Amino acid sequence: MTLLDPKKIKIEKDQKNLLTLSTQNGKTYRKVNFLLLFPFTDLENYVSAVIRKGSEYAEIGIIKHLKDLPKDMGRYVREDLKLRYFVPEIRDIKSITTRYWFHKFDVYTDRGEKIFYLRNVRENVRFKADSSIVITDMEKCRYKIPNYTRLSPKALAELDRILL
Amino acid sequence: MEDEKIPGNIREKIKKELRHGKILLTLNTDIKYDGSFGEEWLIVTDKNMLVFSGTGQVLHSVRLKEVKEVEIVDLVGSSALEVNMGKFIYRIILYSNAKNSEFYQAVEDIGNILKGREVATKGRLKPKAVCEICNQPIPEDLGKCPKCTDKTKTLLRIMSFAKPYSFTIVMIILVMAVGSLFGLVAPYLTKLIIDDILKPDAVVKRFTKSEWLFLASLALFLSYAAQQLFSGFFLERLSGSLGYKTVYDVRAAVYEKLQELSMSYFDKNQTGAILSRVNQDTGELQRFLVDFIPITLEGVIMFFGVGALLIFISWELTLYILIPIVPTVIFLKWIFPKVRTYFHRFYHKRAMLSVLVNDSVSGIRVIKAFGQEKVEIEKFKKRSGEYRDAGIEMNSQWGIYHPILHLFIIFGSVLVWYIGGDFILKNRMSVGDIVAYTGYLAMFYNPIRTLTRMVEMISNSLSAAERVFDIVDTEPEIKDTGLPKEVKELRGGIEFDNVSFGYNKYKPVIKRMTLEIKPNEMIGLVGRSGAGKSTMVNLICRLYDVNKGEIRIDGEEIKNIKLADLRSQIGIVLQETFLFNGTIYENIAYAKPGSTREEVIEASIAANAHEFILKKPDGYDTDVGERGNNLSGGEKQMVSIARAILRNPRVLILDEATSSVDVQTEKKIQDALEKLTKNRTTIAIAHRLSTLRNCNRLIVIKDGKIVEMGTHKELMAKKGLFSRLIIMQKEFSEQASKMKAV
Ligand SMILES: Nc1ncnc2c1ncn2[C@@H]1O[C@H](COP(=O)(O)OP(=O)(O)OP(=O)(O)O)[C@@H](O)[C@H]1O
Ligand SMILES: [Mg+2]
Repeated sequence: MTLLDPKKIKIEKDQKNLLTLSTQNGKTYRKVNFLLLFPFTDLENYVSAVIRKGSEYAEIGIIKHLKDLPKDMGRYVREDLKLRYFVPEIRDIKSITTRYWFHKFDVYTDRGEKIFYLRNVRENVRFKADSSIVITDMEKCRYKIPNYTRLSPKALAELDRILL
Repeated sequence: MEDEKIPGNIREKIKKELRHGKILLTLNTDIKYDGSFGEEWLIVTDKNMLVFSGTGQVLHSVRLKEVKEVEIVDLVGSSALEVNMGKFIYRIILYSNAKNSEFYQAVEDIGNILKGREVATKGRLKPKAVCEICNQPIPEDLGKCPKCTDKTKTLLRIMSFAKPYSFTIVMIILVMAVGSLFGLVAPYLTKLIIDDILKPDAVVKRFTKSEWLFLASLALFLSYAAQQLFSGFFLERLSGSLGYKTVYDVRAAVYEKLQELSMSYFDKNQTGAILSRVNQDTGELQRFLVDFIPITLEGVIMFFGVGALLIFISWELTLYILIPIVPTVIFLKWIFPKVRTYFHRFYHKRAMLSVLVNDSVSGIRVIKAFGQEKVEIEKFKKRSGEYRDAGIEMNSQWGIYHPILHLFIIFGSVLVWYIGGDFILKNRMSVGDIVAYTGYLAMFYNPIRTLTRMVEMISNSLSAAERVFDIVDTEPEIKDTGLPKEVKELRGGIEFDNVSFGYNKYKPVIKRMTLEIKPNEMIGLVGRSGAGKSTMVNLICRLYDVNKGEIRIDGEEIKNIKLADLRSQIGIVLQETFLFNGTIYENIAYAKPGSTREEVIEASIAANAHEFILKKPDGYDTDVGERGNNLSGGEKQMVSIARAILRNPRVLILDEATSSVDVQTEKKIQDALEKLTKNRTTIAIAHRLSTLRNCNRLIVIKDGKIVEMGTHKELMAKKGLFSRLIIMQKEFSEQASKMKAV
């Protein structure tokens, strides 16, 4: 495992908004992408810097903790990740209404307000061992609740109502 | 083109921006440039490609002349459109999975615009169907709007399954009505006993008071007995038989459909989900028919019957009774959602627990091998504890609401005694009236209680029914055309003509592949893991249909060949050997129902399986265990080769068929196969390249494309991917033999 030393590397943005990475041993890579190694369980640690070659990725190295990066660099990486991983986190639930065969979710996410439709609780709501929930809506978009025990009581009550 | 969809304010801005130029394509996205939810617009004119923000600002503007290519880049949960300008690649717009098909089509259209071609009108993806009622797009694999499918329709659907038993249904209603009638007799008899026999100043004729009392008691008993006979004995029998018979029919319909459905259905739906539809949801349907419907009907009959009697005995008292009924109903409406939450949580925890047990029992080998028993026990205890707590919580919640509910009902009876007692004192009612009245009142509350809950239970059952009918209504993607061509004897020539295919049609796995295999040729497919070899084979068996292009067998498009004819002449050894729970003999004979024992033994000898079967004490009757787990990996492969050979197919497909057997055995199998492959088309896939030395031609696949093709010699001379692979494997085995020498 090649670790990138957050104190010694440099991540910059060029005029085209593409990221350039200079590693601790003096090499510079252009058009770098960042991948989460644990996209569902850890958004802050174990981030892999890669270069895309056709349909494959060549890994430059792994950044262990994003928080150790200088502020600007951390922001660049987080922005890049936010655009790559589209799994909105549900922060609060305004309402869940049940009509006919579907549940209409009206929620606040980290990416703004959204209304989506869930068809079948048993098939499209996955409970993970770490109290997180992943919901797949009728359009195959995924939403995440990082820790349902930390939802507001009202949101929890709404959710409990439909969970089977 | 479709610019009427664009909001007015943006349309103004676009017009300003595009004074010259004709709009060819407009499309809105659901994610903004910064990854948050919101709208942006992609507009393509005959000169430019632009992206507008939701407020009408121009975010990107490129000239079509400078664009080399427009591409979709898959991200996680979303995708991006990238414009290749030769020197630079711009990412101009993001969109979520919901917009996949629109953008997929748009990229094709833009490609055509760039090449100066007409935007194709043929072969377009169907625009997303939109529901007529709610105007929401209908998800692709559903076909009908899940939001607006009417519940009454589902109810009718269930009833259509019950239709063959309409005589039973009529009987049920009759029996129920009679039973309820007898139920109504008892309180009235008590009234007669009290008012006409027990009252000190009552006048009796013909019999003495004690004789009357005996007769009345006897009648009381008989009425109860008759009620039990009808509402218990007859009703249970009838409704039971109706429910079980109907659900038997539904289950059969579901299972039949499951067997018909195409592979893609099973890719999309998890096994667990399908199983629960077949088992749990049909079970729910059963409860609906066996329990809910009779209870509901009975409730309705009692409600009106008893209600009428209450008014008949004393309409004034009935008015008073209505007072506590109103808050009772409100209370029920209020608490059921609350109690239900606890019930749901309880069921959910129970389901989670059984998932855990299921998982750990099927993975018991791994658990033991890694010595994780303690960890598993801890996990189980944690889940089980949650289940326990949910149960306790449910009970204590019920313990709060249930007594309150009871009090409401008791309050009704108390009211009867208080108000009714006053009526007695004023001589407007008799004691018997009041006793009868309280008796009826108890009967009256029951249906109210059940009816309030029934609405919800029925709605749950209907949802389950809808999931079941979902399967029944799914059209298999792969089926015979109207007039399929019967082909009794394939020659075995296979052609790929510009074939593209992806399990997800937006992500091709086979890309524009063209290939011709002659009858009786033996072809070897080579390529790295994930290159698409097994996928090609899946297409030849028509387990999936191609997205683009054509596959032809003997010059006939595969879609026009009768499926049964096609499949019966293909013998395949799948990469993942699967054996059914049963004996070795049963597993081999599965390929050809009605085959003789000689044939099975011949096939086993050809597959070199006979040798190891001889060594088993139970011979061909050896049980292979669940999924064939009692056999070794290589033994399983030999059995499945025998299974494929027994079919005597025109096309034989061996997908890594000998990957798990030792080299010596492989050699033997190959020698045996050599005779067999002479007069049939054979496609062999292998990573161990020595396996393919008998092949007429080798085809090297990379990333869903053919990169090299030719005989072993030709490919070696070419010094391409294949020769590199051969050299690598050779070096590897030389190294290994050196290590042995040391
Ligand atoms: N049922 C499926 N659903 C979705 N994707 C699939 C499915 N089966 C295979 N794939 C994907 O399609 C691609 C090609 O798979 P395929 O099985 O054809 O590879 P292969 O060449 O047979 O590889 P191997 O040598 O490992 O068997 C892979 O990327 C794989 O992940
Ligand atoms: Mg394969």
